Amino acid sequence: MEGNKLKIEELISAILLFAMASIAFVNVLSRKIFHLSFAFTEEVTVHFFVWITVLGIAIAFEKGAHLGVVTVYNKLPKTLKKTAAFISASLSALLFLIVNYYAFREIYMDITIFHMESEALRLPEWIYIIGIPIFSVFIFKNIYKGLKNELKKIEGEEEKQCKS
Amino acid sequence: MQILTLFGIFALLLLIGVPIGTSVGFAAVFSIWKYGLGVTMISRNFASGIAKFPLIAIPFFVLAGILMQKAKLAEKISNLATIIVGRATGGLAIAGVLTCLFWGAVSGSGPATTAAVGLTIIPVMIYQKYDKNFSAATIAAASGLAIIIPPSIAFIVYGNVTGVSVGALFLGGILPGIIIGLFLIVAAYFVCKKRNFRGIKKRGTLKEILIATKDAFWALLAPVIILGGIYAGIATPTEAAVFAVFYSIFVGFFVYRTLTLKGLYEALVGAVITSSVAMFVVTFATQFSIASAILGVIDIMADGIISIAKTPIAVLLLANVAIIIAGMFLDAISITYVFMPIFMPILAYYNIDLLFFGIIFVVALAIGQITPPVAVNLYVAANLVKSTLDKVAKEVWIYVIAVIAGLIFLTFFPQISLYIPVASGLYIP
Amino acid sequence: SAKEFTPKAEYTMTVNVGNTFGWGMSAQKWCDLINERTGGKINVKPYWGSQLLAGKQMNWFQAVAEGSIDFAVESTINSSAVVKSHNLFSLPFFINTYENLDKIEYGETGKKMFAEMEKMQVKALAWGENGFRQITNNIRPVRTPEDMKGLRLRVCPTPIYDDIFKQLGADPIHMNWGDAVTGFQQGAVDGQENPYGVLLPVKIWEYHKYATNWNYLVDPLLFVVNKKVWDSFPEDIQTIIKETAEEAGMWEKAFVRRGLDGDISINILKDKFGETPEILDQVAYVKTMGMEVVVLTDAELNAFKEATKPVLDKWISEVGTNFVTAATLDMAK
Ligand code: NA
Ligand code: NA
Repeated sequence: MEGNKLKIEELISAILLFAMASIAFVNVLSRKIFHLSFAFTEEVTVHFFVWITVLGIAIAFEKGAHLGVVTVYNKLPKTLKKTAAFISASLSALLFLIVNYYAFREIYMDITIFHMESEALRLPEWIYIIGIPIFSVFIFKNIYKGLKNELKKIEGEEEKQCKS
Repeated sequence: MQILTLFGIFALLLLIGVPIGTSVGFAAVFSIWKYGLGVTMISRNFASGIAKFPLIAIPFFVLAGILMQKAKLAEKISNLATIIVGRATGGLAIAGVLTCLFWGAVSGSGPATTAAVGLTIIPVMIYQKYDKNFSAATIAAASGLAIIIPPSIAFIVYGNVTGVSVGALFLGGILPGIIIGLFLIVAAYFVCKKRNFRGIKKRGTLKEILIATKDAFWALLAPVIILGGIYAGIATPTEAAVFAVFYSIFVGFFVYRTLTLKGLYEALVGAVITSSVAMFVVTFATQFSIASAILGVIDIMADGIISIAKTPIAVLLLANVAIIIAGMFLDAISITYVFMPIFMPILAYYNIDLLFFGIIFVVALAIGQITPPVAVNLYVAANLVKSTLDKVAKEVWIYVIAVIAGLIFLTFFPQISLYIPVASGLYIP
Repeated sequence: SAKEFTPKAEYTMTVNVGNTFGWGMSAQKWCDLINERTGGKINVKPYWGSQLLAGKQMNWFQAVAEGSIDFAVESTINSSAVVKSHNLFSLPFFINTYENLDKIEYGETGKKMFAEMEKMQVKALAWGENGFRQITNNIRPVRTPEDMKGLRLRVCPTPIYDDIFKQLGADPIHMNWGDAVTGFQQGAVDGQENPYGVLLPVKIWEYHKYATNWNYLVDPLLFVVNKKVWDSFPEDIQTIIKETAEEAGMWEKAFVRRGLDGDISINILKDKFGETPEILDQVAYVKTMGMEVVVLTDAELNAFKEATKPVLDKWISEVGTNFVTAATLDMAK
């Protein structure tokens, strides 16, 4: 949201979260008032939740918003700090590469062998799974952007210290 | 060796500043791959760790909290609290704790409460000559109440790990939250008296109190909406969270008219980020606990603890110490996933009630939010007053002691934690 | 055999429930028997509550098929989204009796199912049983389809269950057990459906007064092992693992059926296993705890059969007509 520039991953996640809340709200009202129960709302909302989590993890990587222990990191000299930032970004990327490798494998197995159906809507399960690799694109993009920001910040801090 | 690899990678990555989600996830995924603990389940379990209906309460409660903050509800509560107790010695600090107590009934997250309440009351405290680091420390410590008073992300996660009803946990947190609040008020009073931090000059007249109460009406109603539904049994915590979201949209757009579409959009994105930062840890900590279970960590640790602590009370005290120490370095969610699988067989062995333990556990986690080096509430508060974590930390230790005192008190009187859940018929111990 | 067999230090097993249920006890029994009879050579460790699946029990079949988990004692309900024929057991009022069930499991149908699973890399070794599922509620005794109208019931979150309860005019709700219990206590949820093997451990009488024994569908358990793991075992070990699975399955069936099939299961427990469980007759026990138990007459049962016929017809094609035909033939034997 910085500089009012609309970011696609933020837009998608905002729409999904609002949809989740609305679907859940309608479901509660319909159940309390009309005694209808929509099992599919639960299915849709929990899978949207997986998708927004992937998107949110991505957004947080760019903003440097993930939780971490920075006590030691902050005290590192410039080169080591840059190395640590680089290792951190690489391992984060590697972690999601592995998750996505197995997500693709899962989709392949589901299409060829298991033909698993979702619990309420009875959609092929892989339709939900495929959101993970699709939205993970933003994770890789933002890990890269976040690393660039961090390296810039490390340079900046160094300059500030030199001047004072 | 295998256990050492799992925990060693986790610790090493944490140490060099790698995000907790990546640290715990990479340690787990590496061990699962290296030791053949079930690699094909990595992506399935990534999704399964998130796709649970009770966990959806997390983004909803976070969203409701941000919306209510944007609708300026926190201001109205702090205004009311200041008018009522502001004149006493340390009045603003006490008003700060009371505001956190109330805001805790709206927000489920410690750092979010620090931001919401801190923004409204810390400037007033500084203006009235309260030390800025002490002001920040006060709000940071009191914001721990947000995870003890329902709604609470910590209880949702605890319920997810242990299977205890989140609704019952929520109700269980009410009395202990108020008690911890009282311990904090006593601590604040002593410091303020010693350091001569006074109250505001003017006494609030009855008329002013009534006007402020009317002004804060919709804010005060929020906890009733959230908790009333759960207490009356007409809503699960997730449903209550959904109501809270639409209640705050209603109040923000139509009652106070302080909310804009842009504000709603920002709140949605903000809620996505906050909830995802939590869920990143939740889902990979799930895989970490699977790896540690297969590698036998849990059996070894549980047997070890049972051989050391021979009575239930010894187990509880040992658990308190362990969580408080872990809380210095780790966030609440990781601690729940790493520790609860170890504690659960021990609690079963000694017949210690899981709901009661959940309350104790979460109070100890609240302490972790204000103990350096990893102290989410302190971090937010220090940023608010443009100070450093170290300086605010120097002012917070008195509150740490106060909460520990409260924790010990609650440990010895389980009936306090169990009273409301049992009385409401929501829980049979 | 030419190649030397070196077992893994420990094999994993997934179980959806804990070891306070007959289901969990039988899983533990299987592991213990394997360990004992292989002289400690093969160690299988059960993980309760679908812990290894991050709580998602519906994934057990894939996990075992792909070899991420070695063994399982699991319900066919939880594999029905993948192995469509497993829905056979959920066809409403189709199997209905223990005689029918045994004929299907140990007849041609059971063989066909085992073969189908083996093709998907899951070697099924024996049947166990969570049991015929019964309905309990706190509103009224259920004797006729009419009595089902408007009841808010927590049901197993699978499509066929929803279809059955909607067809009967009830309001099926999906929620985890903790929330369901809260719902019972607050009156937000009227009832639920589960076999006796679950009703007793969860002390259902604390929440509900009425039970109806209608055997509307059954929840069998499978004792399985990953195909590659199975093939890695030498023949003598395979024999031990299969025999112990059958033994644990037989014990489990007798344990959950006790009191529901006259003296048959009680005698199996006594004669074959030398056991006399504390609670001998489960139906009698819940009555002593204050429950009112409705046992349907043939006419009453037929009314339910009629009422749910559309669901049965719809799901026959889902299950596969070849399986339904085989089951019908087996039951006629
Ligand atoms: Na709270
Ligand atoms: Na800490």
